[in-house]
Amino acid sequence: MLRKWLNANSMLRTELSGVATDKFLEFLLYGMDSAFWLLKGYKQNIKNFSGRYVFTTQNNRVAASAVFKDGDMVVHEKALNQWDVKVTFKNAQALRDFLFSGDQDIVDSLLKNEVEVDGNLNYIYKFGFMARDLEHRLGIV
Amino acid sequence: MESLYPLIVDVVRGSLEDGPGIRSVVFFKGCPLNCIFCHNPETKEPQAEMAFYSGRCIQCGSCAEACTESAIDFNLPGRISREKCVRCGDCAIVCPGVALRRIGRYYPVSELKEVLMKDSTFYRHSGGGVTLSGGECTMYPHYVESLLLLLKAEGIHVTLETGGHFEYSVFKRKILPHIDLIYYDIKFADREMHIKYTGKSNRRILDNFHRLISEANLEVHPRLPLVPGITATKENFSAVVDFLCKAGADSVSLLPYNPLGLEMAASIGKPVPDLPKGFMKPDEERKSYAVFENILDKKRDGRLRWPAGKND
Amino acid sequence: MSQISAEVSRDLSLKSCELTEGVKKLRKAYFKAAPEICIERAKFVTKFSIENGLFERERITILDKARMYRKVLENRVSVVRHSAGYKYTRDGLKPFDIVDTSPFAGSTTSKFKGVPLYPEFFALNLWPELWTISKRNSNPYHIHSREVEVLNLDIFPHWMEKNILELTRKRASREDQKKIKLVQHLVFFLTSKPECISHTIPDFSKVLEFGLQGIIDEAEKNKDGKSSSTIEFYTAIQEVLKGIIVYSRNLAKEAERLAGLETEGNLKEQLLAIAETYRRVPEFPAQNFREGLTTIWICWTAIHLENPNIGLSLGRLDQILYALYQKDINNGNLDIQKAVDLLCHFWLKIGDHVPAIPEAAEQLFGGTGSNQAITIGGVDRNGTNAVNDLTYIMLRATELMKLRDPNLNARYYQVINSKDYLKRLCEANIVTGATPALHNDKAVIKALEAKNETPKQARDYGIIGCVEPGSNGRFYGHSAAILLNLTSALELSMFNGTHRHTGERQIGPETGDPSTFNTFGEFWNAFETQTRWLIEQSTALNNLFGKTHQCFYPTPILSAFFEGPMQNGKDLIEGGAAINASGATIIGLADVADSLSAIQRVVFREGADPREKRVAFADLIGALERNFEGDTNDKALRLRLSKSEKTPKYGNEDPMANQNVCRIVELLDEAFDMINNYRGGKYRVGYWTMTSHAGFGRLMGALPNGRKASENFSSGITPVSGVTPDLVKTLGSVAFLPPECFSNGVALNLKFNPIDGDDQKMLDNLVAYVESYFGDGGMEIQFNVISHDKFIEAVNNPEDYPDLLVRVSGYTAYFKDLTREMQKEIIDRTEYRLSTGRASY
Ligand code: SF4
Ligand code: SF4
Repeated sequence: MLRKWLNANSMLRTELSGVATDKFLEFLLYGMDSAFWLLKGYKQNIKNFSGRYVFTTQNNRVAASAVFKDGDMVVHEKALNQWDVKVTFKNAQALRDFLFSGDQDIVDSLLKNEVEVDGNLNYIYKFGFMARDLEHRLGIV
Repeated sequence: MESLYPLIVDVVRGSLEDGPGIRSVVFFKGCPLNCIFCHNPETKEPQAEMAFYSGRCIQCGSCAEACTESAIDFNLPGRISREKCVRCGDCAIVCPGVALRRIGRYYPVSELKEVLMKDSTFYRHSGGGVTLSGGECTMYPHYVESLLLLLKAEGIHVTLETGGHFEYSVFKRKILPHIDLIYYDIKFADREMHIKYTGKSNRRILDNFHRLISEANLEVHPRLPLVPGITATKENFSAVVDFLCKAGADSVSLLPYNPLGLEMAASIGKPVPDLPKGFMKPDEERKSYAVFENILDKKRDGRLRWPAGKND
Repeated sequence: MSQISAEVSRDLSLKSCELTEGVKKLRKAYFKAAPEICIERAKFVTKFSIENGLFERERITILDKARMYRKVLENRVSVVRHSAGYKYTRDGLKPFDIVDTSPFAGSTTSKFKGVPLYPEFFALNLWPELWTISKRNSNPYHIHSREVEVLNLDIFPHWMEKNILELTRKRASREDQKKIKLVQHLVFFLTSKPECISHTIPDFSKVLEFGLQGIIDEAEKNKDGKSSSTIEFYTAIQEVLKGIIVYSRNLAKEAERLAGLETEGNLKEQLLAIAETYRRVPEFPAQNFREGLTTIWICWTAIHLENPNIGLSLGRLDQILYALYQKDINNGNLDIQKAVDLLCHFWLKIGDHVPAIPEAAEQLFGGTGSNQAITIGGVDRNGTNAVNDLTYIMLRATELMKLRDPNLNARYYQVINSKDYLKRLCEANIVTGATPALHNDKAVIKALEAKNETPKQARDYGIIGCVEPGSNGRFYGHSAAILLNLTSALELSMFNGTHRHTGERQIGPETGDPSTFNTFGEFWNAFETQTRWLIEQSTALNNLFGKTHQCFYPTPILSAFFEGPMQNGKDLIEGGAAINASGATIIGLADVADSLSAIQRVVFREGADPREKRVAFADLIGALERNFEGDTNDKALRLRLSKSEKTPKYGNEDPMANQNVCRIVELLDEAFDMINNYRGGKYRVGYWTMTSHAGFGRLMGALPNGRKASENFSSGITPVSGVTPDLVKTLGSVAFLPPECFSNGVALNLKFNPIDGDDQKMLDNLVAYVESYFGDGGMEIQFNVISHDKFIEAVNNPEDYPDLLVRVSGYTAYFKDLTREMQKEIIDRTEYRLSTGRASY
């Protein structure tokens, strides 16, 4: 999903590729965060939406959280204790695969047993939409 | 030359090609003739034989380990040193890839009957039954009689495939009363040719056919196996048709040439005859059929039908 | 009394009946059209739920639901004529015009070929792909961007806490949450409850005879002296039925309006005829064949408004409609060609919707339609011959239309039904290549009686979804509730309760390290323990979902068309049906059976030749973990395990293999039968795998039967491909299994290579095979009669074969819609030549 977007944003891409795996998830979420401010209409997605997401790897080496509330998105560089959904990837590579493979979606990663979801799966579906909506608005789809 | 204990090469079940309906076919091992073009050369010898299929071998070496006679030789293209081999079958048991096989197994009559009865529902619903083939099952009249009596008690339709080289009186007493249909192979009308290619004179075969046609009240269906350049010649066609007309046969069919016997001959370590390696092409086959039909048309005495049935 | 008219008996194939121009055009449009997502239903349901505070409720009553559905029925768009669809082009999906002259108005969705959304159930999983779904590779759906916006902002957000999965998860205990996690690992079992309440056959006989008004009156009468909750149930029934009547009247009005605009005389007349029909039915009793079909059709759309379009089935239509047909024929209002034409149109209507399948799920269930089964033939409740004119007319319509949906199933009772009938069924399979599936009445009835159905109930079975038998209109069996991957039970027993797919964590009970076992019996015990454990987990989870259904999804519409609820005043979902059960289906039977036989023979050396080498269990595991790709030893071991000459294989009448299959099916039947479901019924088990044997196969490692990692499993009850050269032995081995263990149906898939130019011989052989297999006790058989070359051509040039119909395991699909894996699975299936009866390898 985001790969094409990253291609289009070569600056961010360059920055990302230089980032240690541990950090890049945050970058990603920050990227999304900024899109809420920059892209007209995109903010609709989080109007009246509250939800707490935790992304992490099994060894907890990589962790980030996103909290949506009152039309706002806040990124934390750690795993919060309270969440609506927590996504645990087998390892950093699985996380990268998930975020950067062409036709990714969560079920495909589940198929490969590379990710485990705790909590409310519907939040993942919504997150998936927001990611693709971003591409859509950037006219990359 | 009869042995009381025939070996069976195979029981093929669910065949649609060896008589009416769905059938089980018993291939007996052993044959009085020695046709060079035999398409089941593994049925010629009455004894058990070892076959090696080189294409299925993965070179694991288990066979050599198992052989107590040191008969496995990886330098031989046929793998088995036939002089040393005692045909015990140990190597085939351990071979994982079924590249080795011991051909020929003895079935007590009751066991064979049980195997054949497994498909009785299929026989009933298709108008099928059992076909005795070979090799030449008439070599084992006692065994075959016991089997036939068991099958007849169950009302099973039995077809016999024969090369016709049997002793008529014994056949008439032990086998004929219990069968329903005969496929009778006639290869040559000419005696010299017959001796040349099968190792035996055809006198008995032709006499037996004559007698069956005139005496027996069941369908006796003659078949001529096509072997390009050997049986499939104008001359032979003409002579065979003459014979059939004279004998009073009312139908005949041609069996398409089957080259699979060549591979098998190699597998069991027999010399491979110099014959075409492939099946006849459709147009070749059609041509043969046309030649035959032409001859038939000219000589038709009003009885001989062609082509006869679709069973082959 | 024979129910075959002189006219039909003259030519049972009804060759003279052809497609009329009108239906030909519609059929063409149908094949051209891509599915379109329809948000109408989701929008109404969401809006009603918001306005009436249903999202805040802890429990939703049947009356709430009924009012909601009534409102939708009264307000949904009246489609009398479809005018446009979307077709596949190089540049994506583009609109095209449709000339619709169908005698049937109304539609399941607002679209020509619609994908209805049920956000209460599983629709939210389409959320991530809304923008891309019209461009995805496999089976794209059209959707307008404004519809994406509506779904994203106004519909889906409301269901995030309120769809069945989430409601169940929130209510689940810690233990139960673990079971939900098991489903997420995907390799153990799937439950389809989160997707639907369906997989059953409604009863249409009552509405045909009395009309909806008759049922409304009956409900009123039944209220007398009942408790307030029962009265509420009957009121709910009345509400929804009134809604259906209004929907039909709206269609009549719309038809009339269109007729007013129409200048062409013929078309005008057609519209007026529709108006007239829809004003009368389904409100009042159907007077003729066309009204009968219209009644069923309109009720069918309403049932789908309530229940997701997965496996709802129409039942024994040739029986239910026969009286009306007969009446029309007698008074000269109908002839056979006209009946065929009506049914062709009806078939198209039935297929006017497809289920919403997210991209990843395509890998498990690719190519599926709604699997709406129709059943013909067999015997009636009293055991007498039920084959009639309509049986043959429906066969002809099916043969002409070649649709995957409806999925035609034919019953055959040996001797009571004529041999000519069976011949005709086989002929239809040769013509269509894949349909109808054939069911052996004797075996099926035996299976149902073994589950305590009365002979009358059992004899009146229809087929649900793929191949599952259920007493017509009275059996609520949700026959596809659980899909159990049996190879995972084997896996857990080989690895002491762990699974290669999920790594080191303990999943199942610890049943011991098999390398310490001394006998095969010990291994079997481990396998049995793991199997029972999986059954407990899956059924417990299914019951959990069932309870959520009871709280949030009462089913007034389906209940109105069912034997039971109307009599006892109880909703279907609460156990109101005359017969209750839940169904499971097993994936990987043949692979597991062969693997057990392999372990028994090569590890524990039962029945082995003393000259053969023993394989230590640890060495076997080593080879599996190397996927048999190590040295020559691995290769040799795999060969030995794969060859039927070396290791017992199911499908060859091998006693050890047969015994293992029997033990497994007996174990599963017994274990499922012990468990109660949430409606007071039991669990029934069957063996049909749709396309999931390819999907599950992808996730599983190498197995002791020589199957390598990721390869397909064998389908349904079919033996493993490539190990069964003799068709008669295959049929004999399958027929040998006890039908009493198969109350949820089986699918035996056979692939035949047709004989060129000798149709008669081909037909005779096919008939003989079926007769013999049924005679020996076989329960079900389904075919693909297509040559290998044609398959290969269809893989390479899909656009040339838009309607190439194939049997997966259970339902029929269009070959082009299948995943690569599934196409390969079908191509790799053992192919028997109809000329020789032998496999062609
Ligand atoms: S059959 Fe016996 S003697 Fe002959 S090669 Fe095999 S093992 Fe050796
Ligand atoms: S045992 Fe079989 S596969 Fe192995 S080397 Fe001998 S013939 Fe070849």
